[in-house]
Amino acid sequence: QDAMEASEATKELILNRRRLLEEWSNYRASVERKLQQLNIKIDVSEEVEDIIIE
Amino acid sequence: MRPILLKGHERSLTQVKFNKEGDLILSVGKDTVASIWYSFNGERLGTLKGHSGTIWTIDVSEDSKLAITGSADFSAKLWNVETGECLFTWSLETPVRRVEFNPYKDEILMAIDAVMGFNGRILVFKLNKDNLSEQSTEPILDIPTRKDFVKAMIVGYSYGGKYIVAGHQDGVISKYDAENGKFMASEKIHEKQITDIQFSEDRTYFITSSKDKTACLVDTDSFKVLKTYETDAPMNSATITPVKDFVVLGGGQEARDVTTTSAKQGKFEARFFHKVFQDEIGRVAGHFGPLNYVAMHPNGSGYASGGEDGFIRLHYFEKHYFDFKYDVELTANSSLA
Repeated sequence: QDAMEASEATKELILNRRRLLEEWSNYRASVERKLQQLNIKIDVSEEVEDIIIE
Repeated sequence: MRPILLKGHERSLTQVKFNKEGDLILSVGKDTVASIWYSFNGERLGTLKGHSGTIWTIDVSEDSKLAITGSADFSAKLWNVETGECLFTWSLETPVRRVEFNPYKDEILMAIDAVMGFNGRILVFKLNKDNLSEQSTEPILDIPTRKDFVKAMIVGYSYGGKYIVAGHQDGVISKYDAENGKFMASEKIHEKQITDIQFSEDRTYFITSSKDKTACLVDTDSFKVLKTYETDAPMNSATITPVKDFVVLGGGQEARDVTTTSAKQGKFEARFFHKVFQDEIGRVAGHFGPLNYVAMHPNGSGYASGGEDGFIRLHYFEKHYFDFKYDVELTANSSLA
């Protein structure tokens, strides 16, 4: 939120990224609904915590 | 972390793949011998010997028991991964540019090249699992290159094995019904040759790379370009990272032009882009020539790149790679929580 006030350009950038992120999550949600309707199950990768190599 | 260097190939790599579990890496190149490696330490487990020309492509079955290779020697071969034994050879009319196991059915997909009066075609063969050394040489699907189309050298299966997606030499992508081979759609999305297509984990979208120096993220159903990633060099391969929202691109100046520049100017780096925001966020150098193929570890813990220089570089990511997030991603996550 602080960065939003830094400058007009930063604000633009942040708003644009926010828009892109929302667009993407809407797209993914629609795809997931479609797969569910088709009864296609997908293996999703494990959580990040499990795969980090120390 | 220091990369693991997989040395063993005597010439350029053409394709590098992880098996489903990610414990094995399979690689092929211009030296006619396929290699199988342990991914955790880079030790070579064995080789697959039998082809007499460049091997363009390799794939491994879901259960990691079988491998298939496609070669410039006009043949495709089926292998027992455990023993390294060649189980069957398909003789074809032209070089085999891309092979893939159908992840949902016992079928094999191939793209064969256009040379010497042949226009190139996409073939699907039934995989006889009951007797592996007796395979049918009659394809169950035969999709010749359409009129007004140029050859497709890249093919892959969409989600559910519903469609076959092809990448053509003139930058066009096309789609076929995987049941009957019927043409469904095409779209020109690149200015030049499509060099690679790799699907997302759920195979509902894919990434293409092209000699036109870009990569595109495409929705399988609508064929709409969702994102474009721009670079300054021809791209040979692109892949989508599981777990994180990134894509990785590999390429570099054309092999034939490499002698005219130093490795520094050749742009031989793996490039990481943010999948959603399309910004380049990092590069990994190391190869002495173009990257011909990039492959993600299926659990997202690392990636491997196969180079024109004959080496495979295997990188595992450090914690900061997984921690990296844009501010908007962090706030979006916290508002969900």
